[in-house]
Amino acid sequence: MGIKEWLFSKLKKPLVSENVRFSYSQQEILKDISLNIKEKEIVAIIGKSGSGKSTFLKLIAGIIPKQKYGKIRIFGMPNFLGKNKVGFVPQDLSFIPDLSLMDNVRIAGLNLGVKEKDAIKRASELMKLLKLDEDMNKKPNQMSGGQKVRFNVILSLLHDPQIIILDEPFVGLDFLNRRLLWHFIGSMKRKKKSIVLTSHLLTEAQEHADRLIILKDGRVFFNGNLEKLKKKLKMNFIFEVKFSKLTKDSLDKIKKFCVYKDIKILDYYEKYFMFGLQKEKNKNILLKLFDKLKLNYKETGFREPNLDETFLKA
Amino acid sequence: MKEMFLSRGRKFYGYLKKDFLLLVKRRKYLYLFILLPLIIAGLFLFALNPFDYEIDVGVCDFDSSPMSTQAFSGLNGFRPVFLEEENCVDNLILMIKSGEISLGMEIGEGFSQNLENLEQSKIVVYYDNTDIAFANLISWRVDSSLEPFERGIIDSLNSQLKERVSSARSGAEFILEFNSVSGKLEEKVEEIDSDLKSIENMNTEFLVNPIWTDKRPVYNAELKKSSGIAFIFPILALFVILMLSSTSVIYDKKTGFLTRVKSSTSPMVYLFAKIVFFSVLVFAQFLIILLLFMLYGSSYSFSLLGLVELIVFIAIFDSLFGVIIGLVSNNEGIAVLFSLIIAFPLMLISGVFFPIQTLPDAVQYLGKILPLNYQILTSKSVLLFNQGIPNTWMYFAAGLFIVVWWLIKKDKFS
Repeated sequence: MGIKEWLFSKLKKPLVSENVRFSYSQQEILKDISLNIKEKEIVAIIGKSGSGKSTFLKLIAGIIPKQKYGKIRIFGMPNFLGKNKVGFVPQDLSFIPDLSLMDNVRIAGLNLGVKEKDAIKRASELMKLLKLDEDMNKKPNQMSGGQKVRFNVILSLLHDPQIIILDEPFVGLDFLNRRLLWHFIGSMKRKKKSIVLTSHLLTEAQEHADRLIILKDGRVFFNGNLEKLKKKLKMNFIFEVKFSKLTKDSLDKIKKFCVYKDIKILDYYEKYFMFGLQKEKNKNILLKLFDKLKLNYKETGFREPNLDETFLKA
Repeated sequence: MKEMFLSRGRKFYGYLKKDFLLLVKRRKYLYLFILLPLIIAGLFLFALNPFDYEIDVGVCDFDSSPMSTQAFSGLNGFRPVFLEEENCVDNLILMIKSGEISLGMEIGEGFSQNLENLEQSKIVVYYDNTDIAFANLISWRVDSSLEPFERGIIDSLNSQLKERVSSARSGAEFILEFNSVSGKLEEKVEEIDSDLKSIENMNTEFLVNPIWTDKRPVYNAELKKSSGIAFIFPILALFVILMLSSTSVIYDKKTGFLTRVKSSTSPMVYLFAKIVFFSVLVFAQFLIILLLFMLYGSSYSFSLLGLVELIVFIAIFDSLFGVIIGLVSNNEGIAVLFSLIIAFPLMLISGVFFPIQTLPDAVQYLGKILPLNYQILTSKSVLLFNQGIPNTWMYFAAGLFIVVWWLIKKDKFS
């Protein structure tokens, strides 16, 4: 990296979005999204399906032509001019099935503006990091699902981008493959890359990401770490019970009581209940209610919430 | 056993139902499936098989007699345009070459005199022999149009013959009745002799064909053989490139390659690469066709620059059209149907199979602005006459680029 580029990367923030709004077919998908992603940071964007996560990532990567309002800047430049600094890993496997791995690397490299020789060299480095020791003359269809996902990641990073964007990279991966990918993302962070990803695996995101961003109805509902989120949601404990019998009348009474006492029912299915509590003493309040209703129950858990449960509250 | 048959029956029904449901749910499939036969059958019924049409024909009437005027005024299916006598034939040929008129006729001096003398007359017919379908039509159409006029002449001849034979017979009867009156006898014998002589001298060619149409191509006769390339090449390129480029865009969409393209560069670079790739394919296709025509004995003398221009024009046009089809189609099947729905009618009214001159005026006008006809004309200009290509193609290309750009803006690239 030359001095000019080094200075440039220090002075300018890797990724900034200001009041980004986007509509599709008169439906507003994103409303005023303002974010700032720093160098050497892993940011996980979470949200329900349809909350606008992928749309936001595609806007950053310039895949969706242009947002209607707001700015997205990559190292101070408009995003469409900074495409070479971004490596976008699409959710769907994006390689050419009729070509060998080697040819796919060549084509993907050229598409990213990298010489064929350099692309192959970089691909071998990335393959080592992602433990993808495959014959390059193979075709992608001869690989397993996990290998395909890793290869998909490699094809997006052949130009050694400063910002790595991964759209649901863990979908369909088993535990070992997910761990491997998280390690890889960590190694990229150590190489001073900025990483933005979306995921439904909230517990893992909480474990590995430096920052969580929750999108809700096209807006940033939360931006920070898990502790901050717990505080915001006033939910520090999870209490789980299983009733031996539960009438409709008792169910209605529990629901009303929870609304009155600001206790969140995070989940219930038949006789199983999961409550989100702000204070430990709320558990006793609930137990008293169960006794009053003459309900037989069994406590199945009382603990701190993980991200999935916090997300339920959100 | 019964249960097994029933189970297989249910499966069979399920597979049928699946395909029907897909046909109905995939609206584009359904619309194209209905539209394709409608367009082709409609074109055939209302445009390609006309009962009543008129072809503009330039006439050089050097005879300028009432009979020659009558001959052309009554021509069935032709609209005569009488030209000035000065340099008439040269002008006629120039007008055919420039496409102002489709056909020319020259009536020489003595046309009506010959007919009156019961001798064969001649009409020279000039036509564009590089216009394949029209040239084939003209070989019989002129003769069949002259038929009523010729029938009139033969009818007139028939009555003259009857008149003269009956005069000869009455003369003979007179001789038999009044053979004693020597003065009148000599006179009658001379009359009979004259009538029989005129029958004897009658031109038998005239009996078969009172007007001989001498059909002369305006270009070298060899050119007709060579001209096929100017039709086949653009038509084949249209079919092949439309299908290949549209399905290639769909393949790139399906394999996620377009997502990678969009995340790294402007789609215009991708489009440019597509055009260059298909230009190479068009060129390869052209070489194969050219080789075959040359083996067949055709010869060409076109400039390399003109050829490059032509190939680039055809490749830009066809591949951009294919890209548009690829962008608006959801799968390869729809793209192929779309390509057919565009290429097939264009081919039918391109003048290869049906002469453009016989089509209804609106279709003729449409034919002039349709891209395939324009490509054929341009191919003729470059490959047969070694002329450059008009700049109009740039407007075609610009128009298509605008459509593609608009589709990209509408995010049809995803």
